[in-house]
Amino acid sequence: MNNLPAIIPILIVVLSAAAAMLAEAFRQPGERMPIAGLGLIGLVGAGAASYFLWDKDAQSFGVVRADNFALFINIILCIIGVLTMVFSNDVVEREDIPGGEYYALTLFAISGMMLMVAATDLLVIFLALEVLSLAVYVLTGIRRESAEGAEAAFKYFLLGAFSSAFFLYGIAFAFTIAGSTRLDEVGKAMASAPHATLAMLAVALLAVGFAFKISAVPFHMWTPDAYEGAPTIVTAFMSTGVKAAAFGAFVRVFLSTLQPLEGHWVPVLAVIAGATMIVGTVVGVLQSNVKRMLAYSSIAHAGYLLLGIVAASEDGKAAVLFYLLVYAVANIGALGIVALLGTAEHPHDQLRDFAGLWRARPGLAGLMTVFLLSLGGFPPTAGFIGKWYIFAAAVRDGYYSLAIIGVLSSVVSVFFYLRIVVMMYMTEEAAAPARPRVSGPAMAGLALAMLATFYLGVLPTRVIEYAVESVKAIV
Amino acid sequence: MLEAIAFYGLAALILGFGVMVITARSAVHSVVFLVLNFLAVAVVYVVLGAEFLAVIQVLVYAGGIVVLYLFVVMLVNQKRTPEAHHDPHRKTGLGIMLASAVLAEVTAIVVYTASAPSASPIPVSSPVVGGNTEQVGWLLYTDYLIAFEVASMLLLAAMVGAILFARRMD
Repeated sequence: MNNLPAIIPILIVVLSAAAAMLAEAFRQPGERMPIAGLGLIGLVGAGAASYFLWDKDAQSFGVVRADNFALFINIILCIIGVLTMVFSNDVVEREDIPGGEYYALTLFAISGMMLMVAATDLLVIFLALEVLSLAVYVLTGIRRESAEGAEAAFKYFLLGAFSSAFFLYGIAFAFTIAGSTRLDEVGKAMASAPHATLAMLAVALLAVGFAFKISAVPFHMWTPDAYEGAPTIVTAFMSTGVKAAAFGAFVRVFLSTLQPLEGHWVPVLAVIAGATMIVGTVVGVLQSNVKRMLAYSSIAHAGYLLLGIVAASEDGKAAVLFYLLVYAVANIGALGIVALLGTAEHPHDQLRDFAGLWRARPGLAGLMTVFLLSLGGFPPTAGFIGKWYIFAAAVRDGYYSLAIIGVLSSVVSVFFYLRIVVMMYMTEEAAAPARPRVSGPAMAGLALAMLATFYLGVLPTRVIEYAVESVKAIV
Repeated sequence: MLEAIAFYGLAALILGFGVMVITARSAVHSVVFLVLNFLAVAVVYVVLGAEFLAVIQVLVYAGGIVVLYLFVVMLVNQKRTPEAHHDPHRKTGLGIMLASAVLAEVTAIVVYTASAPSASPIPVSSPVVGGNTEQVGWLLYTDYLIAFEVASMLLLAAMVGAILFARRMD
């Protein structure tokens, strides 16, 4: 029984996924079922379990470790999941998405994400990565009548399978050196590093696998297409959840297991971080589709997060965790609003669709403004503190040029966030189909996300302390 | 030494077949090369002393999965290659040769079994399973329990996705 506690949050989410599948199986054709509620129960349960496991450092079967680091990201994932469920309840039927499968796959993806962060064995990390990837590939193309969706899913799947192969090869080389896939064993073997070439290969291939999932340049090509083609609610989910999980595992593998080889991979990641920030921002400016624009914005944010990994101090790691939370709340809020305003025929994802939103829906326009300002890094929103914390860590570690690139690219990125804001407030509404009504729970979810954005921006100390405490698990 | 030669020979074969899989022009040929590729990998397992894995490799991959591939190729590629229609007698010689080989084989079996009626039926003792089945089973349910269970979860998620895409639109 001692083995179980660490996997309880994951088990709860898996069970709720199974419940969603069963609910769909017993649903009469045409009957409405609150399947999102099942998911909500599971996610809240998983969040509570994570809370009770705090500081316990529970381990399961030697391959899953619910240390504070994993639990912190678990909580982020639960927040993402809860918001996704709340928004989905509005969107799924309207967008003609098959409900049971949608919720089941989303919950499977969340369980994979949680496992990926908590796993301390490369093999389990890989399997968890595949669980979440497969679920997200399917979710991308879940609207089968949409040609863009099919194209996006296909591209994402092919490139994703390719990157999985890279990752698997990296694991194989690590196994060759260590004779085990356990992270601690691999770490020990890397520290003595008798076969330097093999170690380099392992590090390089693992880095490619991770860089693909976090959509870092030059492995970002799939991101705009996948984010644009997927139903918006799925975009909101995957742009936050996949990133949180992949960064969690990235930090765990690179900053503890592969720490001994730091001298080799830090310069490479530094270049990737710089390129990612620049490309995400510069190309983002040129977009007129809001989903595509937010896709490039998410690439730029991956660059900022990479900066935290490059500045591999305690501060850097804590900054990554804090930023993941800040980014998740703001991004899922912004994309959630796009999803809530869209219908299957009219996705509401062009820049001009936002014209006059302030007159028509002042509440939503206000919320959208807050989320966009947070993404752009304005005080007093959370984005400002998050960015400041990351750039400060980078400067303290001596990465001045990267910090400057970061500041400049966030200044440029403000331009495209403000374009939406200007559109909402200062442009007259064009003749467009009526926007759908947003339900109470969805509004409540958005309001909570907004409150979190302000709370993390004005009183960040407490959460930052939690973040600092949780990265102590990653030595 | 011998093992190294075997390994490098097999590795060359595996790579060669792998290249053939993606360069073969007809999908059926690709699949056949894939079978050869899988079989060569199975031989590598045997060389490594992992007989159980080798058997599974042949049963599941070379046997099951490739047959599925062939079905897909068959169902998707419905148009025949034109030359097959032009000359129906193109491969008659080969056909007769293969057919007579099969005939000879069947005849030989019949004659052999008929000439030895006293042979006792094959003993039904449990076959001696190659060494490491127990070890594999043991590892799967101890060290790799989580990986094993997660793999089943992965398959479940994949199944949901596959059914979702394959189901008729209604």
